[in-house]
Parts: sequence; structure tokens; C-alpha cells
Amino acid sequence: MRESLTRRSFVKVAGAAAATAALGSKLASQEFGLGNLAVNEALAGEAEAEEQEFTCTCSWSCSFCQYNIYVRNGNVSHMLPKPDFTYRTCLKGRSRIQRAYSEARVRYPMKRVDGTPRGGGEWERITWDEAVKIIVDQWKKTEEEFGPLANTYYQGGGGAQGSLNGNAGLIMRLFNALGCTKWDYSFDAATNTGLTRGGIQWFDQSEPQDFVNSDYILFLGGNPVGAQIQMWQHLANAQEAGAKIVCVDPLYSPTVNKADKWIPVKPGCDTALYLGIIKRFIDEGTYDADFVLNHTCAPFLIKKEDGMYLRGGEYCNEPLHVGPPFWVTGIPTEIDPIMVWNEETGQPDFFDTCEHPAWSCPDDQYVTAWDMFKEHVQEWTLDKVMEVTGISEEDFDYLYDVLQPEHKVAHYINFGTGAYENGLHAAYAMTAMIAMTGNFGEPGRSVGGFDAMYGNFFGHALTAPSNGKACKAVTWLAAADIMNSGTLQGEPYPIKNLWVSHGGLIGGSVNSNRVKHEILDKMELIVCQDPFLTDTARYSDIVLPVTDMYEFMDVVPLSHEKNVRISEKCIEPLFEAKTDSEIARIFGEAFGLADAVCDVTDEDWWKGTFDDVPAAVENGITLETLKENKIMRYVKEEPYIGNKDCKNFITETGRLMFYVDAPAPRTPSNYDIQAVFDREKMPTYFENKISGEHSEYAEEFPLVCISWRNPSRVHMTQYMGTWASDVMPEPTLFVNPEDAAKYGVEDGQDIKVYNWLGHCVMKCAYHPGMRPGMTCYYKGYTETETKSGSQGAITTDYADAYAVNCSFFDNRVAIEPWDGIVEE
Amino acid sequence: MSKKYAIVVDKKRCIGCSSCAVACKLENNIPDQIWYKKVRTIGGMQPLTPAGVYGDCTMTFEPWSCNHCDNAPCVEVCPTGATFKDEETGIVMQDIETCIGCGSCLTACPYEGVRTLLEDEPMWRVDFPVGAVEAPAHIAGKVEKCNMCAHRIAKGDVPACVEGCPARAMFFGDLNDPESKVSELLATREYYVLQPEAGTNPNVYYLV
Repeated sequence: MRESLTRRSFVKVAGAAAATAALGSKLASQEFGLGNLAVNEALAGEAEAEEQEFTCTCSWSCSFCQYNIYVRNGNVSHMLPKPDFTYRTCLKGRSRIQRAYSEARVRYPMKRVDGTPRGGGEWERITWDEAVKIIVDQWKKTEEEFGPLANTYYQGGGGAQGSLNGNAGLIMRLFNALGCTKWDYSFDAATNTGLTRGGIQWFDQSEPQDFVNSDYILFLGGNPVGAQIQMWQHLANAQEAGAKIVCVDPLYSPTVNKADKWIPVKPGCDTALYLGIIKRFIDEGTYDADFVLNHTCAPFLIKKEDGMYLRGGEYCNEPLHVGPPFWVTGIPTEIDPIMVWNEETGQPDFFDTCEHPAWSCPDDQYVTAWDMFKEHVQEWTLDKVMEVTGISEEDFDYLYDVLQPEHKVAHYINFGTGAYENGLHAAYAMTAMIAMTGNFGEPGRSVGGFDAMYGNFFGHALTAPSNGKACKAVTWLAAADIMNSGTLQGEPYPIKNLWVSHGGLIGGSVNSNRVKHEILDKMELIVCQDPFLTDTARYSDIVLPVTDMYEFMDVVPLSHEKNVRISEKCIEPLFEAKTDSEIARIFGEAFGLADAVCDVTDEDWWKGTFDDVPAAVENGITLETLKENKIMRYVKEEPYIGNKDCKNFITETGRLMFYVDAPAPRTPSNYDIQAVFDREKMPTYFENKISGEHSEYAEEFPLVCISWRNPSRVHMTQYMGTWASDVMPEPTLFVNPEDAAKYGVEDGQDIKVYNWLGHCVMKCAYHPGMRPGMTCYYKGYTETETKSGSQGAITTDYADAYAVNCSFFDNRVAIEPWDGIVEE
Repeated sequence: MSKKYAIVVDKKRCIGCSSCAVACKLENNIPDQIWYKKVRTIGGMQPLTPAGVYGDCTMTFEPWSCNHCDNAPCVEVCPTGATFKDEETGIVMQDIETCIGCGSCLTACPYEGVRTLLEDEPMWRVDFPVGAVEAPAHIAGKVEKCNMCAHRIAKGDVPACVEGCPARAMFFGDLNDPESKVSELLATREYYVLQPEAGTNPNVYYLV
């Protein structure tokens, strides 16, 4: 069957004619457009008898909730919170029903009609066999002519995070076996890179039930009340138990609204604030000396001549020592030990055996990291901190008091500070600040954010195919440069094709005009596999229909807590949708890679998921026990307290670091890393290129523009129109009334928000909680939801060379009333 | 003894997320044109914006729906008895079978927006009924409003909005029972009701 239809008529015909076999339900016999009252009457009396209960789990990037699903007559008809589950199904989760059955579903493999432009909306239905042949022929042809790296794969983050069928699931076995380029999506990575350089890990954070034990919960770039609404109950419980919520934030965010204390600061200056606090701790001698000397790099010796650490191998031919266990596998490491100055012997000694390390070194060849760092923070006097960050003296004193070691502090950090060019340093400096207090590792004392990412360790070993090949990761932020120059780091790097899985390259990404014109337009073939016709799918050549949550069984290991949850299959795949793992196997066969990809069965996958993870084995987690229990913890302690012994930070020495002698970028790119190599060694403040006060962009684009996670949608998930999107239907820019008057815009008016990259029309909403000179919008609206332009079109793709991370907040715009003209 | 069911909203915990409103929509299979429950921002002019100036802002939220008043003007004016105070529960019920859509209740009720006359045929985004099997019928020309999920209460459950609150900011119970959670909250916390001057004695309470 081959039809050339516009999307709308296609959907109607499909609903009546072709869907019956795929659905096997009463839905299929109904014409689209009929109200459900008619169906209600037709099915009266049947519903009750046929209701079946299932357990499903969201795998979106918010709270990964589990809930009960009720199927009647083959349709997912109801969902209710699971009575024994901590979190209660929110507006986004409930709206999944409308989403799953929406007209936005991709129902069949589709091909852009020949001769029509990408994004033109003209589709032709094709069979799975036809789609597979087109894709495989093109990828094979490209590989023969240009090598395997000319084929590229992009996966999104928040849409599908199940174990088997998510983006880290079996589909990666296929792309690894193809040895293609995998675009590293380069979002939300600066904070993690800064924390990792310092040695703190989210993976070992305390569970949120521990917040009630804190005196203070300190937010440093986090807004869970807007972004992970389920987290709020724990914070509210803590507040009722006497904890004070303190927010350092330039804006009056939904979390600030609930805080006991708001410390307003300028955007993107947190590093300066933390360095000022560190200086105060050092000047007043109030830091935790025992912790600093024994759990940080403070006594390590740096060679003055080259800035490198003095190591045992170089100093005395010392053989390698046994280092701390590698935090992912638990297997002990081997390290060339860094030297400290032994106060008793008056000589260098090994850091891991020396009982009397010195704070300072009398030998002129060396300087301790402590003395180096002390010198480094000296410039951060209170006056300078106040000038750079805009904090008041009173608030600075308050924050310093909160951080005193006698207070039990939960430090809560998410991706906000990481969304600036200098975001890596904000996280690195925060690690150093916490290193002064050692304020974690006990009930009420913790460092963490929204996700106990330890769940990432379940499964995924089987993404390594039997042919031994692997994708080459290249940052997405380099894609336009590579496409324009044909080179990566000076070497030829031709790219011809792109395959996107559950990803938002246009709506959810940065600089979408550049993405379209300098990357997508140059591709020979764009394939998108997704349950929904997203902005990216609309811009593709071939769209493959993928199942939504109700249509397959999976395990969701990500969570606020230390548990894994099952998500049961409730209904058959709608229309011709297939699971990611099925797609991996179909293409594995078609590419002639069956031996490398399809040799792993689902059973093998689950065995690998649980049998290879010590925490699962210790707690009796197998697919069978999980099917029975629906949710299982992988630690015994409740609530779990992270970083307990303070001896296993994720650095080579197991100590927190504020001096790193050989800083490395997160991932290779085309950026100039040598130019800022020395800056990277210690946490260092530098002004953000675009959002900074003295930016060259400031005059023409006077408003710093950042975004909040949208409480009514996760990324773009509700664009098709659902109950959740009804709550916040329009893209809205929050503007301080003073700025609105200055730039001639009014509350409720459609305004053009623009910069040198593009524009987006949004509704203006007065918001006195916007710092004057700063604006903010809720993310997650697709191009189909705006009156002109898009949110992706006004977001910069400029990035730091070491973080290699989308700097969503390092951005500026100008605003004016919209003239009603739709621009391209 | 008969019940006096009430809903108590803790404004310190409410974050204005509208999960209660959507839980209600699903549970009762409510057509696209109607909401029984909505969440109002007490602050700026637009939803989710505060009042005040930078550095000194205020914003709270009021989930609102039928107040199930003790002195319900809608009950008094209803010509057919479709709107009635249930003696057992204290819930102000709306019987769609006997409603003639005259709109008297809409005029009499001081809480504008809590009930809707469904003027056109009901429309839904999905083509099969969702929500509870016992969800009410929806018919053009009739007035609809919150029945406090009477079908759930009859089974011993709490209303869908209360069950669906991620912030755990909403409580349901019997104010005639001094031991109930809602009685305890009203005895120990400061609270207000909407438009007390109307003399309706509403049964939705807001803890400040």
C-alpha cells in the first residue's frame, strides 16, 4: 500500500482503515473525531469486566515515577498512583494517556515525499521492509565510499531511559557494531565535569528522605519545585521538621518561592562567591582542618618548575601503589603515589602512608597544593565578591554562617550553574568550598541533586557487540564545524548521514537555525525513530514508529532513591510501532551484523543487567523477583547516606582535589584547550562571554535570558496538546515590569524575543522576581507551538573548551512588541 | 451521625503544579471544554508570577472547585432538585439526569467558575472513555461541577485531587469527626475560606 497523503488526512484514513489489525481493540473500529460519549455507550457494561491492572514507570528526566495503569477493551484507560509508592502521579504522567493515543503518534514508517522540502509535512507511507532497505543501502554505500564514521547517530536524553529499550539499551549494541560516529549530546555536562574533577559524585548522594535531618538545605543552581516536583514533598517535610531552605539564585524561582531565605546574586558568578567563602574560611581558620589535611589534596607537593605533582616514581623509583577502588567497578586501581612533605623526617613521603603530612613545604623546589590554593583565593576579598556577584554583605555573612561545620547542611546542586560558559568552574569551586567543611557523609549532611545516578550501572555491559567495534563519540557542538570544514581536529572527517533516536535536535537543542542549515541540510539521509512526530522527526527523510511506555516491558533504574522499578507491558504496540530492541535486531540482520548484535537475547540482557551488578546480587534483584515485587532497593540502609567514610572520592587518590596538575577536557572537540590549560588547574572565576556584565553583546542585547524547566512538561513531551499542556499552553517570557517599561512591552502582549541567532515570539508576563536586566522562560515548546520562530533558535551553541557543554544560560536577547509578521 | 466532608489545602505545601486539576480531569473523564478544578496564583497578573518587587516577592496558590457549602445558594435556587446537599456526606451533588441546564445555580453561586454549562457537545482528545468506570456522564445542555468524587468516597477512597497531590498538600476527611486529620489541621493551624462574607459556610479550607 502506497499513499501520498498530507499528515492530517493520512491520520484519518489510517485510523479507520489500517489500524484494525495492529490494535485489535475497539478503538480501531471508531472513526477519529467521534466524541468518546458514543464509545462510552457502545461499550457500556463491558468495561468493568475487562479491566486489567498493570504497573508502569515513567523514564522521563524528572522523578521516574511508578504507577498503576488500567486497561479496558485494549485501551489504556486510567492511571492512579501506586498506594505504596512515595510519589504520586503528576499532571505530566497522567497526560501520557492522551499523548499515547494522540494524532502526533508516528503510526507507520514514513518517507518524505520526493521533491518536497524537509519539514514540508508531505509524507508517504512505506513498509518496514522498504524503510530498512533504504536506510541500509544508504549507510552501506556511505561506509564503502567514506568509511563507517561518515554514518552518524544521535540520541536524546530525556525521552527513553529504560534499560533494554532506552537510549543506553540494546540499540547501542547496533550502533557500536556499525562503528559509526555517535554524537555526544553535550547537555547538562559541565556541573558533572566540575564535580568529577573535584571528586564528588552524584552517584553516592544521600536519599531525599534524609533532608529531615538537616539544619539547612542549600540550593546552588537547583530548582526542584519547578523541575522535579516530586522532590518537593521531602523538602516540605524537612521544613516542617525545622530545616531552613536557603536558595542562592538570581531569580525568584518556584523553589525560591518556598524558601526560608533567598540570596539573590548576579547570574553566572557563583564561582566568585564560593572562592570568597573559601577565603573567609581560610582567613578565619574556621575550616575543618582534619578533613582538609587528610581528605583533600592540601598536603600534596607541586613541583614549582612545571606545576606537576611530585610522584613516587619520579622521586625514588617507587613502584605503583594500590589505589582506591575504581568507583564504577569496585576493582582496586594502581597509582603512582603523589608525595607529601613528612614533618617528622623532613623529606618527601607518600601521601597514602605518611602519618605526619605538612601543610607547607620548606623545600624551595616544591609548594603544597594548600599554599598554592590559599594564594589563589586571596584576591577574593569581600568587596570584590560583592562587586562581582552582587551579593550583599549581610547575605554573605548569612551564607558563611550556614556553612559552618556545626550546622548539618544538605547541598543541593542541579544543572543551573552548569549552564553557563564558566559552569564547570562553579561546580569545581563548590567542591572546594565543601572541602573546607567536610559537611557530608552523615545524616543531614550531604551533597547531591535530583538523581541517584547509580542506576546507570544496571545493564549496559551488553551494549558492547561481539565484533569488538565501538562508536566514536564526537561532541554535537562540533558538528557544524565538521560539516563546514570536512575536518575534525585537522583530519578529514566526512559526514553523510544522521540517525536520530528519541532526540530533540531542533526544539530541545541550541541554535536550531544553525543546526538546520549547517548540519541537517547537508546530510544525505536523516532517519528519526520516535513514537512522536517531533520537530526533528518532521525535518527527517525517514521516520520509524517506536512504541511508547505502555507497549513494552522494561526496567527503569534511575530514581531519586536507591531502587529499580519494573515497567510492564500493558497493551500491544499501537499501529506498526516497534520497540528499540526490535529495531536494533531488525537492522542488525539487515546490515549483516546478526552475529554481533542479535546474539544477545532479552534473557541475556536481563541476566547481564542484574547478575553483573554486585548491589543487585546482594539484594536478590533478578528480573523474576522484580516482576513479583515491582520495585526493589539495591541498598539495605534506609534512608541511604552517601559518602560515609569520605575516603572514596572519585579521583585517583580518593581525595577531594582543588589543584589538578593535568586537567583534561570532558570530551575531544575543535576548541583550543591549550589557551586555558593553566586556568583549569584550580577553581577559577572568569566572566561569561555572553551573559557577563561587560560582554560585547550587552549593548545590543541588554537582557540576559535563561530558562526554567517547565512544571507542565518534561522537555518537549506535551507539545501535541494534553491536559498538562492546557495548564501552560503558550511559550511565555517572564519580564521584570521595569524592563518591560524600558523596552516598551506589556503584560499579556505577544513579544518578539530575538538575538543574533534568531527569534521566538512569546507572551510577555510581568514577573517582579526577574532580576532587572534578566529574563526567563519555561522550556519545552516545539516550533509548532510558537507564533513565529522557536525557543531553540534564540539559544547559543557557544561552549567552554573543557566542559564542552551547551551553555543554555550564557545568553542574551532583546525584546519588542511583535508586529504579527511570521518570519522564517 | 452524618458526615461533613471537607477538603483542606495546606498553602505552605501547595506548589501550584495543577496535578490535582489533571487528576480530576482523568478520573471523571471530563470533556475538553470543562475543568472541575483549577489552580489560581495569588500574586502577579499571570499564572505562576509573584507580586512585589525584586527581592521582596510573594506568591501562593489556591486550588479551587465547588466549595460544597453548608448554606449552598445553588441548592436553594435549583428548580428540579438536580443540585442537592447529600444528607449522608454533606457533598453538594449535581445530578445530570435531572438538570435542565437553566443556569440558576450559575447565577446564585458566589464562586464564579466552579461550575460550567456544557453548551456544545462534549469533546475529548481520546476516542474512548478514560478515568473511573463510574465516572459521571457528560451531556450537552447540562451543568457540571465537582461532586467531590462521590463515587470514590463511596468505596472508601479519597477524592482524586487529594490522592493525586505530589506535594501532599491536600487533605480530605470528616469535620464531624474531631479525630480526623482535617479536624486536627483546622484546630491547630490558621486558615481561611473563600468569600466568607457570602455566608455560604464553604467546606474547602486553606491553611496559611
